Amino acid sequence: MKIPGGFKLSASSFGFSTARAGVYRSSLIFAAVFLLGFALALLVIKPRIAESIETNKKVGEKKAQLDKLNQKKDEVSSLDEQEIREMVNKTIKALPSRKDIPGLVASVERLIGLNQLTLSSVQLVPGEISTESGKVVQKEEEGTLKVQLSLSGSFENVKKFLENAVSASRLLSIDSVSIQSQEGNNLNVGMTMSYFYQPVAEVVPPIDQPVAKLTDKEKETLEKVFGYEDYSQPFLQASQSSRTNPFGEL
Amino acid sequence: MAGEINLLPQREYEVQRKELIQRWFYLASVFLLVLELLAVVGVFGFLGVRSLEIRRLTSEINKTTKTIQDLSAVEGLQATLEKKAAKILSITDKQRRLDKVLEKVAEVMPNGVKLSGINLSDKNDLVTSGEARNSTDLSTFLINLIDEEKGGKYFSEVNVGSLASSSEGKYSFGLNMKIKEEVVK
Repeated sequence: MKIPGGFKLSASSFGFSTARAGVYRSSLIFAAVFLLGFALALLVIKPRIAESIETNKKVGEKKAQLDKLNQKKDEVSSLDEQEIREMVNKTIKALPSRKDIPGLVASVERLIGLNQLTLSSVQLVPGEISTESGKVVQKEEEGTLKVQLSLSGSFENVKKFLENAVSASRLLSIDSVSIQSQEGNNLNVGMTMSYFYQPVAEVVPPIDQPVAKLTDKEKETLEKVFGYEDYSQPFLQASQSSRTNPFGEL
Repeated sequence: MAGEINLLPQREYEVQRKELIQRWFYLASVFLLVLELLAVVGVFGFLGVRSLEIRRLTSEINKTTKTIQDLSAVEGLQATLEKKAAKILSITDKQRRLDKVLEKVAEVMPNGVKLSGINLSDKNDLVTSGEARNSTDLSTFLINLIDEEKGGKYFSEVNVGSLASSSEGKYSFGLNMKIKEEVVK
C-alpha cells in the first residue's frame, strides 16, 4: 500500500500500534494491581496484623490462665477432704474460732488441779470497754483473751505448771509472772496469760488464686501441737433440772 | 526512485519488545495479585484459626472453672486450715518456757543465797529480790550470773538495783537483768 509521500505502509505498522496499546493496557493493569495491593496492605492487612498480634496475645493469656487453672484443679482434686476436715477440727481445738470462756476456765482449772496448786483468783481481762463518753479505755488485742491468775504452791509445782501451760493442746502463752516466797516452801504466783482464738469465715478463695498450702514449718508446728496434752474438758451442758426457789439452800 | 524506507526489521523488533514488556506486565500483575490474595487469605486465615483457638480455650477454662467450683468446699477447708496453721505458728513462736528461767536462775545460785521474789515481764526483763547469807555468797552469785560459762549464757545486762546489809551480816539485794531469747525457746 502506497501512501502519499512515497512511503509504504506495511502490516507491521498496525502491529506496532497494537503492541504499544497493549503495553499501555498491561502497565495500567499492573498499576491497578499494584494500587490494589497497596490499598489492601494499608486498609485490610495492616489493621488485621495488629488484630492478629492482639489475638495472639489473648491466646497466650488464655493458655496461661488454663494452665494455672488445670494446675489448681489437679491440686484441689488431690486434696483429701476427710483428712483436711480432721486437721481443721484439731486446729479449732487448739485455736477456737470464738471466745470460748467455759472451755478456757475448764482448762485453767484442770491445769492448776493437775499441778496441785491452789487457785486464789482468776480474772478475765475484759475486752473493749467504752466509757459513757464513748471513749475506749481498754482495747483488747484481736484474737487474744487475757487472763490474770493468782495461785500458790510449791516451787516444783509452779515450775511444772509453767511447763505444762505452754504444752497444752488449747494454746496459751504466759506473758508475765510474778513469784513471791511465803513462809515455808510455798510460793505466791501472779501471772497474766493470753488465750487465743481466731474467727475464720469459710470463704472460698478467688478462682485465680492458688490453693493455700501449708509450709513445712507450719506442718511441723501442727504435728507438734496436735501431740500436746488436752487439758480442756467438754463444754458445759445446759442443766435439765430447775429450782423452784432461787434463794433456797444449795 | 521515490524514497522507500524499509522499516520492517526495526518495527518488528519494537513490536516484539513491546509484546515482551506487555507479557511481563501481565505476568507481574498476576503474580502480584496472587501474592495479595495469599496475603489476605493468610491474614484472615490466621485470625480465624486464632479466634477458634480462643473459643476452644475459653470453653476449656469454663469447664475447668466449673470443676474447681465443684470442689470449692474442700478448697475452703484447706484455706481455713492454712489460716489456722499460720496463726498457730505465730502463737508457738511467741510462747516462752518460763519454767526454764526458774531452772537457770536456780542453776547459778549458790547455797547461801535465796530469792524472795521474781518478776518476769513479757519483754524478757527479769527482776529478782532476795537475800544472801554473807557478802561472799552474794559475790559468788553475781560472778555466776555474769560468767560466760555459767549465767552469761542465759542472762545479760545484769544490774544491782538495790543492796542493803543487816546487823547479822546478811545482805538483801535487788537485781535486774535480761533473759536471753534462746533460754525461753
